[in-house]
Amino acid sequence: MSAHDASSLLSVEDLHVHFHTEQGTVQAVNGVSFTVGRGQTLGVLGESGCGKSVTGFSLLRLIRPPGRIERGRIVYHGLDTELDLVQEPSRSPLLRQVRGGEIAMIFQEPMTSLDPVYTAGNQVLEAINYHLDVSQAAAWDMAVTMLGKVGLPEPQRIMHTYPHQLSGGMRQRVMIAIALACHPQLLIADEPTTALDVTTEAQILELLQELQTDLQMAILFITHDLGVIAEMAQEVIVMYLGEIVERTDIESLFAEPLHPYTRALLESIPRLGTRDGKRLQAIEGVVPSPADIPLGCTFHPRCPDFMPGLCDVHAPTPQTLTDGRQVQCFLYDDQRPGVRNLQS
Amino acid sequence: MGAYILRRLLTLVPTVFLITVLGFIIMELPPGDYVDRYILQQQAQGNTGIADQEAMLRVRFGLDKPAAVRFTHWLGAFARGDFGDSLAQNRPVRTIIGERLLLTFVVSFCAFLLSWGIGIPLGIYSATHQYSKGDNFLTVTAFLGLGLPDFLIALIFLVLAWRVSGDVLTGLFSSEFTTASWSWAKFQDLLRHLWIPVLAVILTGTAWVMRVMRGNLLDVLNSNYIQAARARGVPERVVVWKHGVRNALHPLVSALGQTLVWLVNGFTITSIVLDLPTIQTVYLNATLSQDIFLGGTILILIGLLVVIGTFLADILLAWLDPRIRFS
Repeated sequence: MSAHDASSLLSVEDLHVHFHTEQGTVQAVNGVSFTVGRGQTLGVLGESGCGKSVTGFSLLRLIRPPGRIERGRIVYHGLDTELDLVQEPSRSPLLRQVRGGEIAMIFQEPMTSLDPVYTAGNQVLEAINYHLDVSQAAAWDMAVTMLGKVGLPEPQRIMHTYPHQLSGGMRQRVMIAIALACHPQLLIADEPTTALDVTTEAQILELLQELQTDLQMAILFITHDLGVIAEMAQEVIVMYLGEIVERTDIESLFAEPLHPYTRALLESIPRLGTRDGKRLQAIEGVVPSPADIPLGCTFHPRCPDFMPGLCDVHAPTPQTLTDGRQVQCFLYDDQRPGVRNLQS
Repeated sequence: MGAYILRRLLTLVPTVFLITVLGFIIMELPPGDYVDRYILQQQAQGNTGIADQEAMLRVRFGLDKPAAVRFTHWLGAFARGDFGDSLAQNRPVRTIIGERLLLTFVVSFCAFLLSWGIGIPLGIYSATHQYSKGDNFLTVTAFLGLGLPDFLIALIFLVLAWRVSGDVLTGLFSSEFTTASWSWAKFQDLLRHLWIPVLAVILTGTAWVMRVMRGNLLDVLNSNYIQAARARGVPERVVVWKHGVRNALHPLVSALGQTLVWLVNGFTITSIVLDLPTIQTVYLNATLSQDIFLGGTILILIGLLVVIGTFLADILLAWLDPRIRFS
């Protein structure tokens, strides 16, 4: 995770995001560190409410009060000099330049992510005009080209249509066109296909992969869907209650999941060809409220490998295995009793 | 857009017709007709022979005809601006309303412009600075404005002005100017009186506009497309004004439909308390004294203003929102 690593585009170090509500402080993101490599896709996997989206939003400094980035660094290496986004004033021109210009974002709800009172064209042009110094005619051409690139038919006509005249899939394509109009180096995709039907989902995922190759950009792909992550990501971080519990490459995620939470997630999906009549395994319990995080390991109340006296008292620290994978669990901690030794 | 306006205009026709029918029915509702009242009036003045002419009078006023015929006659006259005579004042309704309409509009239009002109920017400030000192101050003031009735505020101003200057600033003119023709001095005198009703009314009006604007804008600023606009690097100022305010104006524009009515029929109690020469006091007195032609005409006018106001608000909404324009 060194800043000198030429291949890293964005490194997040010990990020804490808290929401100060009347019911108390919600620790939505609690000490998260990861790196996104240039041109790579990093998947962020987890159930609802585990802090995936908050992490994504904080990378663009889009956390709204009562939320606040408490500490940590978000270092962007895509410019000539390193830029810690956490340190930028919230209205700084540089931050605005990064938003949409360097790091862009697409959202979970394409139906509501476009302003209903302006045309699709207006909103694509907006992205272009605030980042590139081009004439109106050139900007228009760029917007039309971009709309064509995301697979929208008759892009000239789409420029003049209003969001309510487009389907969910088309709106998400417009959102992608807006996000990629200025050729950002990193795209944050926050569950971009969750609200879409399966056929449209497949089309959008394929489109994102094409555009990634085409534009040489990195993607931070946030999802709860293991099928989608298998298709999109090379590396995956698994989040649970605001913490990263496991970081792994995509093959190992499915072949040999380490953390009990990851294993439980994998057991909860149906597999073809295993018609032995076994019930599908659901993870016991529900995600606790982030306002009421359990002591010790946050997963211990739901964990099948729960070790009393250890997991509910001490918090595990991230362990790096010899193959580079990382897991935050006492099962893999040499210093603790009851360790399962995987490293030999 | 043109087709939309045309469609809305066409739907106005039956609505307006229904309003006039209703208005006519209301005027016909009190027992007896104009002739009965005329005869009573004449008898009270000692003209005892008048009762014999009843049938003749009915023919003369067209009251012997069936209701449908009388309605068409009345409607035709109404369209030409002949609203009949006020029974209580023995003068054409048209003259009475005409005298009052301009001054009513002066007061209410000033109040309207000020309350919207001040309320909207304050609402935007409040929403974009939620829970700041400024927002808290405005919120408290707004609740005072909403909580205190405007006539009470008017009374307070009246007393304060009297304490300071010794003048009782009721009405819109000092007595020496009431019947005088317009002059620079009369205009100055108007301004000297005007501020009390306007200020009293706008305190409530501004508070309302501000709270509505604040609430809407806060809702809108939490929506996904606002975050999306920020995410593509749109400056905050543009996010607020271009994407936020325009979407937050909806409920206010809808309310604009009622505002037209408010212009002639708002702040009635304040008008009475301050003895303003406005339509409101005439309307109230006409209702109290069963002066049906005067009261009925004002009622129909109010009905028409509702329709026109709603029509204008709809066009504005369609201009603001493509979803309405294209549906």
